[in-house]
Amino acid sequence: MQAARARIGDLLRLLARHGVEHIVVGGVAAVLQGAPILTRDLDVVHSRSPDNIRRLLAALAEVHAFHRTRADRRFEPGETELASLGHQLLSTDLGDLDLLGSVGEGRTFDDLLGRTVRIELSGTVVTVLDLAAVIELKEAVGRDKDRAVLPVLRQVLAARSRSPRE
Amino acid sequence: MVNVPGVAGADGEVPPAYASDGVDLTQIRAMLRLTPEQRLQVLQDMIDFVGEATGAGGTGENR
Repeated sequence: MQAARARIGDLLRLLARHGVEHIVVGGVAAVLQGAPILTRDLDVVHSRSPDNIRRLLAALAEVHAFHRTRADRRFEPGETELASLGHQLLSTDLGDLDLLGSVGEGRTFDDLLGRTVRIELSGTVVTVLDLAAVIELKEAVGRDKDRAVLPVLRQVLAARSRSPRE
Repeated sequence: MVNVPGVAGADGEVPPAYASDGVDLTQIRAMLRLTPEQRLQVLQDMIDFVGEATGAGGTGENR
């Protein structure tokens, strides 16, 4: 089974259309705030409220989401795991989508809301983790792929602080 | 930051092309001039280019 190429804008519109409360984190959050980096999936921290999980499951069903880490069989995400603090690494018709119950040291949707900016994309307002918080998370996680982009993200943050309108 | 030959701005000052850690500041300035929607399109173009160059991934319709 070949994985679909990511269509990030379509994934964001899907979540918005279903009213899924989420925060865009990771590489896409950095790109939206001006980082010239490549990422091939969408990472979001979702609200784990029961209503939101129901909306999220409806959105996932529309794009035939399944766990991409389960090589043995196609396994669809369920309510219990989406309510957990864990990470659900999914493939969908619109590319890879990582749903994160928490990030860093157990920081949830509610914990992160105060560190977000709202960005409009073709009439869709997207809640995005602010760039300083993206950097903090990548520093805390400390994987090689996160460390590799940190110099770029720090320079973007510095440039934005010199020219706040950007 | 490291000053390298470049084009002077309106104030006559030449903006550096690279930071001292080697980061290409011209790419950052170019991205910051774009709207978020345009930045997303730049990312999508890169994803599509890599996908086509490596033969990895297809559109959802191909699955």
